[in-house]
Amino acid sequence: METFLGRYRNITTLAVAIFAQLLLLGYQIHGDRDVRLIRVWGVTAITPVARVLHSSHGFVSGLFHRYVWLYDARRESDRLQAEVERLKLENQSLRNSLETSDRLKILASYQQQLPSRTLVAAVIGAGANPNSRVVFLDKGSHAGIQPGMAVLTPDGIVGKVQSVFPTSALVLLISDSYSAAGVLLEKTRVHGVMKGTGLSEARIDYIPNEEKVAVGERVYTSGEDRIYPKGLLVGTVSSVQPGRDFQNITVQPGARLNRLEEILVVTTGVHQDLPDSLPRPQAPQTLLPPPPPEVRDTFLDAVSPTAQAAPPAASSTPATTAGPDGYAPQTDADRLKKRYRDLGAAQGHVFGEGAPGSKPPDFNLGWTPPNQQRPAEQPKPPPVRQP
Amino acid sequence: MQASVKQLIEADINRLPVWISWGAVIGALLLQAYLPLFPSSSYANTVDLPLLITIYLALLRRSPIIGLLIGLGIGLGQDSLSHGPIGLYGIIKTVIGYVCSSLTLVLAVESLSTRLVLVLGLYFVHQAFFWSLQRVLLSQGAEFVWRRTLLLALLNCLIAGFVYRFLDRFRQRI
Repeated sequence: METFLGRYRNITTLAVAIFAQLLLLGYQIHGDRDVRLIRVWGVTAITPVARVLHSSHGFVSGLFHRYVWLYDARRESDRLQAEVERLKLENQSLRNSLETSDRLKILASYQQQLPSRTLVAAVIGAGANPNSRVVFLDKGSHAGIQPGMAVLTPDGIVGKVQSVFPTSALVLLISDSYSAAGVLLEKTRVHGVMKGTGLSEARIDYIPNEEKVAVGERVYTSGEDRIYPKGLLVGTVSSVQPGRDFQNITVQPGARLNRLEEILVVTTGVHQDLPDSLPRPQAPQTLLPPPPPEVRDTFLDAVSPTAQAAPPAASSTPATTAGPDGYAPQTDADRLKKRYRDLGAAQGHVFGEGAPGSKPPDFNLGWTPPNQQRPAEQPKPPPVRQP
Repeated sequence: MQASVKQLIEADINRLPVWISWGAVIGALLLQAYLPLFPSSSYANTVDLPLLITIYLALLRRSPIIGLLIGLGIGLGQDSLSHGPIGLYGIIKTVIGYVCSSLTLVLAVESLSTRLVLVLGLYFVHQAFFWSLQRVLLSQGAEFVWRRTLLLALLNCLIAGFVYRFLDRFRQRI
């Protein structure tokens, strides 16, 4: 037996090991029980190492993730920076679009207010000559633009079309030294000729020294040049100096000639009145207070023909008493109308039927001046000055 | 003559330090139980590291009894960390350890390629044995998928190449 076991020691050990484990399996499977001891051993042996590994993993993982996070943060920062730059450009583009939209709205509103027919065009360039004040438009003869047409903005006139090409047009600005326009001053309505100086301002010639021109006064087109319709704002007077025969007047153009973007080309000019933006000088107005009721009623009763025929007691009846037709005059105009109607009826005249040149009714029939009717005049109240 | 052969055989034995052996066993069990926890390493359970370590250690020990004991210990450890009955992997790895150690008596298993071929074949044996025990002892109708088993065998063979080359660095000639 010992020889057998010694000879087959290996296979015997294997058989014992397998048999023992089969018994263990059978014990667990048939008894539905767990061999907790072995499991506890295994878990106890592994768990501390697993805990250390888990902690190490947490540390390394945190370090790694921090590194990755930093790496991602760098990339995220770069991406966000690029995003910010892109959004800035987009924002600027949207702002430009918004401003363009606002300008076009203003332009469209101004275009509707203008009696002249206009065409919207955009400024696409300026002249190559630094001494000339010209701009190029994005529309030309194909759009109906012709040489000599006026160009303006809501802020004021810009210039006139100098040359026209199929798809573009050259506009000579009012600030150019070769530019001129007939203008009139707002307050004095005196006419003059505005000429460009090649600078940002223009000057007005032929305004006599005796004409009173104030700084800040608005200047409008006079329409005499047959280019700019009358009534368009040109600018404001920036300086006034007396000259030899005529005043030296400089005008600051209302249109921002150095920042033109969208403009209107007047295809069919229509003159218009100057806007009443400023109160015109006029004499002070006074309005007398209404006369006292007794004076007014007495006057109306005295001039009324029915009052002449009526007994004196009836003359004291207020004029506001309703007549036979039930109509009660309320105002002086009503009473006057009633008086005229009575006068017409008394003289057999029908208003509206008389031929031209026929004799009108005598509106002074039975009228007695108040000073003869009543020698004692009523004291007049002081006049009230109206602003 | 016999003594000289025995001396030659023992002279060819390379021993792994004990702490490396224990570390390899614990590490294999630990990784087998720990790696599948991570979503990024969900395929880690397809690699049977305890089997690879069992084969490696059993091939180092040219004693079938020690080989089966190595397999027994690693198998029971794997069972204890799993939810299945204890003894299932124990039986299989006991047999694997025994077979490996027995093979060292008739085969030269020092070469890495030989060991990888053994891994390839023993993985099949392991899976077939496991499938059989599942059906016979546990009455579980698991299906044996040859193609998947072959792919997993190749994968384990590949992993074994790296693991064995790493562990060979610690081997000491005695």
